[in-house]
Amino acid sequence: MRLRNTKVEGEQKKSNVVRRLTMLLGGIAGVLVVVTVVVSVNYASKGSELMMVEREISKLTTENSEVEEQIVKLTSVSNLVEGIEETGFIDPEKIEYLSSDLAWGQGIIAKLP
Amino acid sequence: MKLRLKIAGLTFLGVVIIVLGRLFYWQIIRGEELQASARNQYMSGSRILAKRGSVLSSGGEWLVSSADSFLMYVQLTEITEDARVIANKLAPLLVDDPDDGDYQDKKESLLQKAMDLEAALLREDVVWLPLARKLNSETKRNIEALSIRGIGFDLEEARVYPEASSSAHVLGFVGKSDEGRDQGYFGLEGYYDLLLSGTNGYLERESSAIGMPLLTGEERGTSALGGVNLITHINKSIQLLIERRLINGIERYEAVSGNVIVIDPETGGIIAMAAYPSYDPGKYFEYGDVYFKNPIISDAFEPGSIFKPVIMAAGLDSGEVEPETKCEICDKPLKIDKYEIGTWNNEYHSDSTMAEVIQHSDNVGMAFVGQKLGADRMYDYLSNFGFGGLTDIDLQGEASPKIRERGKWGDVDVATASFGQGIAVTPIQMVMAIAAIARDGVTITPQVVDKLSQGDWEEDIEPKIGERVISEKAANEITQMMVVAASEGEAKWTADVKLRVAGKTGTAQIPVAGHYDSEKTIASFVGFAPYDKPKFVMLVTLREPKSSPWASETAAPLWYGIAKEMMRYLD
Repeated sequence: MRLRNTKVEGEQKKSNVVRRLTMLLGGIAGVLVVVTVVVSVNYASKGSELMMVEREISKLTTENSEVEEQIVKLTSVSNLVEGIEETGFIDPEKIEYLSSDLAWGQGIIAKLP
Repeated sequence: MKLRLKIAGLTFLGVVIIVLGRLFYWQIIRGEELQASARNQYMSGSRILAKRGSVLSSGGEWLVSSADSFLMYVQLTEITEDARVIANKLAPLLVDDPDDGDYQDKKESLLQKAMDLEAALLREDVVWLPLARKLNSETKRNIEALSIRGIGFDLEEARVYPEASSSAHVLGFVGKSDEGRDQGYFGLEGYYDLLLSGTNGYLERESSAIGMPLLTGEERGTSALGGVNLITHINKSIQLLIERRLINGIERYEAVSGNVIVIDPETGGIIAMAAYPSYDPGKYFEYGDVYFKNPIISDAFEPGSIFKPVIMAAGLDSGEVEPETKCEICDKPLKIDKYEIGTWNNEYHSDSTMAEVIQHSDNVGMAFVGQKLGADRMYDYLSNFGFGGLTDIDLQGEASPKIRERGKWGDVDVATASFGQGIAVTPIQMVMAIAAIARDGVTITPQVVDKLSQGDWEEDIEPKIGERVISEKAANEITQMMVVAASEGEAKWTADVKLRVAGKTGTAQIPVAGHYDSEKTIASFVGFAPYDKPKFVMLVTLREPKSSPWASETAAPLWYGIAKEMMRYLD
């Protein structure tokens, strides 16, 4: 009778160990699933942020390129000259060059009184 | 029971064999193909465009730069609207300069564009089709606003020319190579294509079905390396000045074409270079090939009297003549074999000094110098001055006419070459030979680009000093002769003594089918100023001027007009 009781107790203990082990493994698997989901969601949101940042960079690069193009076009001397002529400025008709040996005050250039 | 077990076992084995067979087929036989296909699904790749380098003037102003442009394409399998509706929506945005031209022209070009687009959209032999290239951002935005399904854009690059067609022959243009990539042709774009292009980068990484990057996935790529900027010796103000003056000169003197080149004799830097007719490098496809060639570096012409200073310099350097040497044969035309050499105005000056020979532009006097030099020595001097070979200017498309081989010159060849006939040169060779005189007898290689730069990095391109071809004494003597020629010669009426010019006119006949055309000429003026410390050397050439055939009445006044105005921009 005592032997039978000992056997039953042993089976119960074994069953308890298996149950606990199963619960433990299930718990670990559950945690892993949750962690995986959390990490995946986190990475997905980071990926989305990265995509947004890249779009912003692309937009700013395009705007930068457009502004640079405008600057290049605005530096056009031809357009500037056209504008100047339209406002009434004209090229000097006669240009006199003074050689370096014609120093100021030698009587060749008029002096102020 | 045993039988049922056996059947079940055999069935299981059969299933396993079939599964293994299929696995072998998918994994081994079609493995690579499927892997590639899978990679295409989860890997997204993009090309990172390297910005092509800009070309800048000596003052740092842009001569050409790059900007974003877009290729518009259609994915024919994705369009949902009627082809005609799409064509009618797109056409007004794709017609060039819709404000230009009259109403009828605009209507016709719009209709034509719409018909072309509709025809393209109705094609059934392709699924992807480019519809328009080089669209700017504004046009792209306007088209995107139409929300037409199936229409997409790819980033491209376009060149921006702030001065339109200015400097076209110096810059060249960017077209397409056989492989469809951007490639520079002619001028700086062609010569420095590799440096200007840079290297495109790429980015390949795993991404989700909606194109979102997967951070845990594989990623590889390289960044783009932008092209190098070219800082040239070109002075933008002088460049625009010579172009404006050249066009005015061609109109005024009714010439067919013309060119002007200005160089800095100290560095060999090209300050300005213009040839007309020209083209718009931004619309190069609207012009024929004939316009692309830069005549200053590739077209040969008989220089005529502007060649005389070179031969006289050789005579002076060799010691065969001195400035005061008297010409013993200048009293009458010179007969060589069956040929008779006369002066341009049939006036003969007996006992002319060499200085007077240059002043009067005396052909007989120059033949006298040539005879003194002899054929072989003349050949050697000409070779040393750079004739018959490339100047190695940093522009694509340079060509050099050959000069007669050494030892094969006859007496008449020596005589005619002495006054610039029977010998062909390019304008760049001619101006560099005169630059050697201005540099006291030492040659220099012409250079358009002064510096290379990219970001903080900058590299100076040092001037390439050549050999001494004539002594300093000979250079000074010929310079003095050119000073007298400029102030007392045929072009004295237009000379400005305050500029202190050493120069020479040249009126060359044009060889046509074995003889010289009696009416058509090439009028040139070459010179430098101030003669004692030259700031520039300039050559002006007009082809077939009709108002007067003489250089003294066409090229010379144009030269002085440019020189006077140009001095404003030089230190």
